[in-house]
Amino acid sequence: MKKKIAFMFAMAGVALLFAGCSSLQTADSSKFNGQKITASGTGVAHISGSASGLYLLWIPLIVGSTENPNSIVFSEDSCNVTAVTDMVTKKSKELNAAKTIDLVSAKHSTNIPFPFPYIFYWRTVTVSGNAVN
Amino acid sequence: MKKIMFLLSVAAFGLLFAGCASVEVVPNKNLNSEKISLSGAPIAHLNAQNWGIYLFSIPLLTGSTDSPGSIAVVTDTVNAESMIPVITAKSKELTATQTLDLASQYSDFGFIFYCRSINISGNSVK
Repeated sequence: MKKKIAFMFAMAGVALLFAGCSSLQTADSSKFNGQKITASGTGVAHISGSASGLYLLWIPLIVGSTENPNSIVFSEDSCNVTAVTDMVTKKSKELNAAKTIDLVSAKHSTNIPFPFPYIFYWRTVTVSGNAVN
Repeated sequence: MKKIMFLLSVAAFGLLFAGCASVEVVPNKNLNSEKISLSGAPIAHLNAQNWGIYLFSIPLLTGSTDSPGSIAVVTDTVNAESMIPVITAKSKELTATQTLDLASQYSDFGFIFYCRSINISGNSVK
């Protein structure tokens, strides 16, 4: 019995190592090497946001928070394109950019084969865009 | 034996969710009043996804592009040619006249049995 509980705790520990993360990265115009990032207007920054999390089938368990990047939330489905796009455009607005152009999003889901296949999934969403004035 | 049966039933249950095409729409209200193109009015950001299980290059179970959310059998739908019409149709449905910045990512992994997936995004503008 003790062994089983220890195993469950170890599994939960491993899951937490990978669990729920979100990030919001910004490269401002000083990193552009004098290159324009838009055909017209002024480039403010390139913004990249991502969120990932652990799901039981479609139920979110531990997910990266899109409200507070770099923190985690429990049982809240924030690992989707809508939430991450919201985070990216909010950052763009914060940088006083009027437009967020070239928005590109990608969503990936990987099945975690243990303890049983097709039950636990690791989901990642990435959205990037260029903040322009 | 019991363990194998259990694993097989769990896998079969998982396969119920296999092969699925979906389109996620990020409406204007989630764009924080930002414009998403140099000209024109923003309608939405779109993300379309499809995946399926293949035996070498033979499609077994894939997401149906005719009715997203359901499964297609022995139909090769996990490719850009099948998914671009899905995302542009959605854009048209939202009354957009342009679908800008189309970008796609394609990946597959496995051995003998492969899991293929495709992800396409675009910006609907009027």
